Amino acid sequence: MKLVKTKKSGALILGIIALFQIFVLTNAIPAESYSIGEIENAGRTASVEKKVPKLSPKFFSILVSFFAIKQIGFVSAIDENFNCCISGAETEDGIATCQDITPTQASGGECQGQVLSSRCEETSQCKTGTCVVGDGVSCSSSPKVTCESGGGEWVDKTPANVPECRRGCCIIGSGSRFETSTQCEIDGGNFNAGIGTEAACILAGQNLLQGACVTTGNACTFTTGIECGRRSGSFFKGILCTNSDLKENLDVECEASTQTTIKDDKIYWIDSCGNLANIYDADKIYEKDKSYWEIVSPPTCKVLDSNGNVIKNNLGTCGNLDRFRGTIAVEASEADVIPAYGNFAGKDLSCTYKDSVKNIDITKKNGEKWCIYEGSIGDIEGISSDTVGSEHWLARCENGDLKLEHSNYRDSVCAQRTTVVDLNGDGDTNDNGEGESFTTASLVPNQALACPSFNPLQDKKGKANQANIDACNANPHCAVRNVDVQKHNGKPTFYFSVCVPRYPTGFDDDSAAQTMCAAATQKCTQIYQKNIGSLWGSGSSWNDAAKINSECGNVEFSQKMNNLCVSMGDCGSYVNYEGQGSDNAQITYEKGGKSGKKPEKIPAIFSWTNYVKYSDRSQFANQIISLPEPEETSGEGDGSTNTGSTNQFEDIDPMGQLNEGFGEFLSSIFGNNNPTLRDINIQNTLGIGGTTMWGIAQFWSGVAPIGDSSYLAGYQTYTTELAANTAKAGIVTLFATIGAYAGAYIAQQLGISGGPAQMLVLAGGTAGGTLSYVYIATTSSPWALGFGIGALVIVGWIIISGFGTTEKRKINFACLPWEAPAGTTEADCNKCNENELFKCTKYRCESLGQTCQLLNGNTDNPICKSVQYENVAPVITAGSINATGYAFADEDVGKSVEIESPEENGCILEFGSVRFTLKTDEYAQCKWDFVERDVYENMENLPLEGTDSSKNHTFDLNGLSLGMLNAFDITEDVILGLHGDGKLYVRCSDVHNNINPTSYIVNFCINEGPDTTPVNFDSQTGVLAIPKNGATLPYGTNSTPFKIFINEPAECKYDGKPSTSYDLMNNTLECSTSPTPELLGRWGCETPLDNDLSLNPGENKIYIKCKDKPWETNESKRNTNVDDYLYKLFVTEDKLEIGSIYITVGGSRFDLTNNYTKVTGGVNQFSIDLTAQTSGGNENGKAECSYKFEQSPILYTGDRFFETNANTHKQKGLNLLNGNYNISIKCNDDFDNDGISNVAETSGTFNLNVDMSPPLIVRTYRDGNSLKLKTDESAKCAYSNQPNYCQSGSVSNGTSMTSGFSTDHSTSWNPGQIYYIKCKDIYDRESQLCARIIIPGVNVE
Amino acid sequence: MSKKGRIVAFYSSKKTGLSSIASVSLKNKRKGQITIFIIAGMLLVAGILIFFLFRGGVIPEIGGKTESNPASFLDSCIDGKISEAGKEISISGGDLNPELYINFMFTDDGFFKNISYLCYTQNNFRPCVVQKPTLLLDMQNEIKDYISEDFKSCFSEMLKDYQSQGFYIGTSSGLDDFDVELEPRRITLKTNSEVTLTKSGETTTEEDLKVIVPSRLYEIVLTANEIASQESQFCYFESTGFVLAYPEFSIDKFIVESGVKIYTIMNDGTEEKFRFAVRSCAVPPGF
Repeated sequence: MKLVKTKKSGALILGIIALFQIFVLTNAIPAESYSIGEIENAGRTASVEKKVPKLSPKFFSILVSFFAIKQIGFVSAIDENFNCCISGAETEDGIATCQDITPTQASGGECQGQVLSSRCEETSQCKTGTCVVGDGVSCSSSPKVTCESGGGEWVDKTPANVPECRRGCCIIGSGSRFETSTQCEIDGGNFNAGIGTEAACILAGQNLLQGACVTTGNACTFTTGIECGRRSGSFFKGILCTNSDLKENLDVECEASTQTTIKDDKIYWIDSCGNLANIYDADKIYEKDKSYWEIVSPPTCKVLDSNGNVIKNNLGTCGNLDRFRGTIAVEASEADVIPAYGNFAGKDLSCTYKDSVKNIDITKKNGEKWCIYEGSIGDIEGISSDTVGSEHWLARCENGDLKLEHSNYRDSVCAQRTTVVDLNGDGDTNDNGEGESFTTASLVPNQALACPSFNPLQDKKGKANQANIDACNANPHCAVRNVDVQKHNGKPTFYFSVCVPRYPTGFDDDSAAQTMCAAATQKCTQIYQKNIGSLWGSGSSWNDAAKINSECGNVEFSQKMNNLCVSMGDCGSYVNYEGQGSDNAQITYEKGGKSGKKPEKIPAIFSWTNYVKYSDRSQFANQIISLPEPEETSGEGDGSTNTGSTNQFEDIDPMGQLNEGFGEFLSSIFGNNNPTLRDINIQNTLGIGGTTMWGIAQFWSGVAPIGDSSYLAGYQTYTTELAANTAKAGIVTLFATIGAYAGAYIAQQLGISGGPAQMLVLAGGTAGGTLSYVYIATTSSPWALGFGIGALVIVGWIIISGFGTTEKRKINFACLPWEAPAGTTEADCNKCNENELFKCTKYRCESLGQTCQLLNGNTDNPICKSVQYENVAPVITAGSINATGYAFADEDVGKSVEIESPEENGCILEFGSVRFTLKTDEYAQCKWDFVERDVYENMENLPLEGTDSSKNHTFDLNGLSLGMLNAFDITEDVILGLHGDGKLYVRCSDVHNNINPTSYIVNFCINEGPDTTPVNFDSQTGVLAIPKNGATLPYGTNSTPFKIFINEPAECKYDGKPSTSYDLMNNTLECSTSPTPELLGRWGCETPLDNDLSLNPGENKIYIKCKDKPWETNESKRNTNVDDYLYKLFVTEDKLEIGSIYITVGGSRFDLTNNYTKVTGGVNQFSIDLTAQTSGGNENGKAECSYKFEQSPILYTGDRFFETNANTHKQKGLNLLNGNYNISIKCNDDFDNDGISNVAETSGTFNLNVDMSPPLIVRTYRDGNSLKLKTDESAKCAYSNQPNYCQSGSVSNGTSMTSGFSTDHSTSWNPGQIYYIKCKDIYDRESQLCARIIIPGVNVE
Repeated sequence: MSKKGRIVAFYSSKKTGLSSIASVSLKNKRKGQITIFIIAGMLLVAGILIFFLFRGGVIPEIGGKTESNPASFLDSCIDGKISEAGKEISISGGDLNPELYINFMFTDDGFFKNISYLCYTQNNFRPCVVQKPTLLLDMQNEIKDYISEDFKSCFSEMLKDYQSQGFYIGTSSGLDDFDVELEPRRITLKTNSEVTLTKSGETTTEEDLKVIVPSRLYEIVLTANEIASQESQFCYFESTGFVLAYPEFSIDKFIVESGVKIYTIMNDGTEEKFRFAVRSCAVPPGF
């Protein structure tokens, strides 16, 4: 019973197992894929041969924080390991304050001052705030310690939040400046805090003048209403002073003229009173268009066409200019056109440059910025295509000048935006069907290095990491790069996606280049399988074609891998910006371990020649990187976005395809293990049912480790249980399972896969099941035995023949740093120097060739030269001597040379000056000394070219005299090494720091014999004299001291007559006879204190001779000049005089010179123009003048005249309060800046008086039938017959007695009426009560 | 009212005297007699001599060597040096001997200069830290130091010169007691001294002598300050907008290497230029 019961339960279990196995078998075919995958996985997990350095997460965190700012902006510096060096941080460039340093630097003594343990920003002393100087004169972002130590006041706020630093609009005279209130106060302007932007401020400065202001005396000023109100003038908004009504009614006498002036960059007509009229338009002179002189009218002429381009022909006829649109008003002499009227014309401020790509002239508007690239940029055809050595260039047009900025190793990219704007303010941005475009651009930090931080683009299970993909795509400087080489049965087998830089950067560091490039090093593992041929004893026979990744043998593999490689930076086979390149990839292979065979096909390296087109800008002329709109805060794509989608990642096994190199690189990002990837593959390949069963199989098989093919056995076991479906007992199943496992184990051990592996599993299971059945069967089962034996035979055959065995053969792609082309010549390197537009940089130079090297990099004019590496010191040879009759002799190349003078003994004359050059056969820096030094570094002197690398090196020998040394009994080495025979030791260092082991010696001798040469006035650098020879002295100068410097100690005299012998010359100079030169190898001779040189107006000539060797007692040994040295001085013949000074107030001129002028106005503040005129002096009156307030009611200082350096000097717009003034004016005509000039001074006084009183009626009388009045000033009078008029009436509501403003007033004489009269003056000052009450016949007869 | 004003009034009265003499000579001329002419001429010459004799502080101008008052003397003596100081200090970034600098040569200069960093960080990827937030004050002190010896010499020369002309001189304050201030459109040297000149019984006093040199350094230095400040905040300064708004200035930016820039601010009118360096937000090539 017990047995039966057991059998029943065992049958149930077996039934379940059988059912399970049926399901398994239905999936046997798809399991093929799994088998393959399993084998491949085994290959994938092969050893990593090349360890690629992992990129530190910390590094990325800094990068990400750095690039988190949008283009330009605050940089969040995140690094927890910095300390703060408060002061005395030792950097490569010197001593700095408030520097973050590493603990290593701190402990290494790299901070001389205090070190705090926090980052500087977190310390109280180095925290950034605002440094305020002088209550807002200057405000800058600053650490506290540097601010306070310099005398500033530190505020813990940003500049924008410090009240003293807030800017507003300062109206200074007729201009404006956006600055702080303190700055404005210093500038003497009026501050308006309400104007909060610079543009609005400039506009405010330009819109101050608005109408005619008629004041006392019928004077008219074109000014603002506010200003007119201050003057108590009558304001006529929008009316010009030349208005005919003003002329007729108010007797304003301003007439139209053909003169012009400049105001706010525009040209305006001016009237005869000097007021601005409308904008200059040659077609609007008074005779042609009188109406243009009536009211303020918008200009009708244009200097720009509908596209905003300058119409050059109109620059002389139209003053409607605007510097923000590229035109400005200048004096006619500076313009390219002749104005039709006046002395001013427009100038085009646009910039034109030659576009070498399109071979056309490109014109850009003033203020435009745009990008220029040197080849293709960005993501093109699956490659980040910026060529090696290319930079991004930002061009700017600034007031007519083209200026260029550039990236550095493409650390920034140039992005631009073109906007169609309504530049002419006509409300139409599309005139004539075309827009008025304006381009702006910026160099923004290249976020290339942040791109790897967006990886992985798949998670550990191979599913697309959409967040990362989106992040990569959202960053305009990154691109998703898909490498898709191989698919198998519709499934990718060599496929992965990576976030790479869209604009890769260059490298100047080998290790950085190797690290970055190595990230794209890959291995493609191909799977080969032994075929059926071995079954028939035909020996080992392997399939020729790889079962997996066969396409890695094609050029597509090397191309796609090279594209990835290039995208990492300057890596792989690629080209420089000149279209020259090199191959920098390696493709190697690993043979199969069993067959010993190499992969079927080995692809060739994808040559750099395939990429030449990317250096040709003409093929990519329309590429541009978009600059985000200002209001957008997020980074905007650049047009070439996204290639990664969710779906394409769902079925792939990215890490499965990633081998050494990139796999390692990415695994540093992904994590090191990806154990479930194959699970996904299996799930995908098995389908739904298979998936379900997969989970059960795992349960049953005890979760086999990934990468272990026992896994396969786990489920293949169940396939062998097909035979056991008919088994009667669990034992049969058990053995069948064991047999299947054994088969799987054998398959794994022997590397058998696919069909043969299945056969082994099935045969093992069959053998186990049937033979166990035979063994336990109660009856004979020959069929079962036959099955079992047959199965064993199959197993044996597979094992013996090796059928189905697989092996891996690998194709390795190594991504190497890009190398500049070899075999370059000087011409190749010189291309860097020849480009007119782009300056040569280290990066650009070195990309041109292996031998190209940038010299003189610490100058603004570096040079790219071909410098082949070698270890040979430069060879020094003699060059040339720049002294008459001198020559090199006895040269031993590289060792020595001798300087021979034309003297009999070949020696250099005492105090002679010899300039000579030595040459090196390569670019080198040289040093020299009079004594041999042990090493180059200890040599003290540089040639004239300093530290520049050059092939020609210039030396000066001068001021040498043995005789003089002897004369002064100097025995010490005043000049080391100079003992008659002198030696000058020279060594040079080439660019590779190869230095001459021994010095090159320049031998020379100093003429010890009798010095037969007199003083040489005509030395190479000319005679130095004070005042200089030919100088012009001020008017009235009748004597002057003077001093000349000569080339040797001597005694000198001068005379007013030429050719006077030395002894007969009347005037002796005092000369330095010291052995030491006084100045630059020269000795001075000057007039004695009590005997200056007498001068006359005009030209003065004197003749100088000297006698050398003043120490020599034997006169016959001394040398005296035979020829005179002619020294000339000019004395100004006409005195510089300030002829007149005058002020202009409200169009009226008041002369000030020595007169006390009273100017009366109606307001407390007067707008004054000050003018001075000069004559005489050096340049017929041309002078530079300044004015100064000697007396004023409040502290006014003074300034240089705004318009000066001419005969007339003008300062417009002095806003002065009423009171007494004394202005002094000083002019000088020192235009050659030699410190000698004519000076003229004068002063003038004036009084500004406010008319505070209403007009007074000074006379009343009857004239016929008229009642007539006279007032003491121009006024308007009115009357009423109502008594309450005096209390409640005003001139405006009375009966007028005046036409305009006048001192004469009248009305009809009506006896019996009482005239209640009120008057007001031009400042609207009106008496409170009546000015007069007249009763005809009573108080007026 | 300053003492200078009193001198002006004195001149004025003398000129009035001269006019009356001249009018006398005109009357004589009308008589048409040669003798009278000669007498008138002699009187005129005598008058002129008397005028100069009693004129007190008026000194004949010889070779531009002396001036009519202490302020003018100082002005002509030191203003060239002030300009020179401004020029020399400006092209070094406001510091003749900077501790933190880049050695660089611009072709136009023809020599290497140590150009001061106004904003600096030794680290990569970080904005710079302003090193001279009080640049305006620093510049003033630098100029003062530069001209100090010359100022002393000029001041001494001035006193000597007046002494040699018979003036009795009284001074207060030391020779070092002066300041240099950068102000809009000029550099002002302000002394805190008082100089009293006495001759022939007449005394004039000059207080707080000033020398004013036209210059745009004030505006240029403030611009440099602003550039450094913006570099420290944004790693960047937008120069195009600035030069368009203020066209009398130009700003050149020379990029030496990543993050290292040399700015040159120039005023087109005075041709003054200010150079300084910045190291901010450097990105090392590759990494």
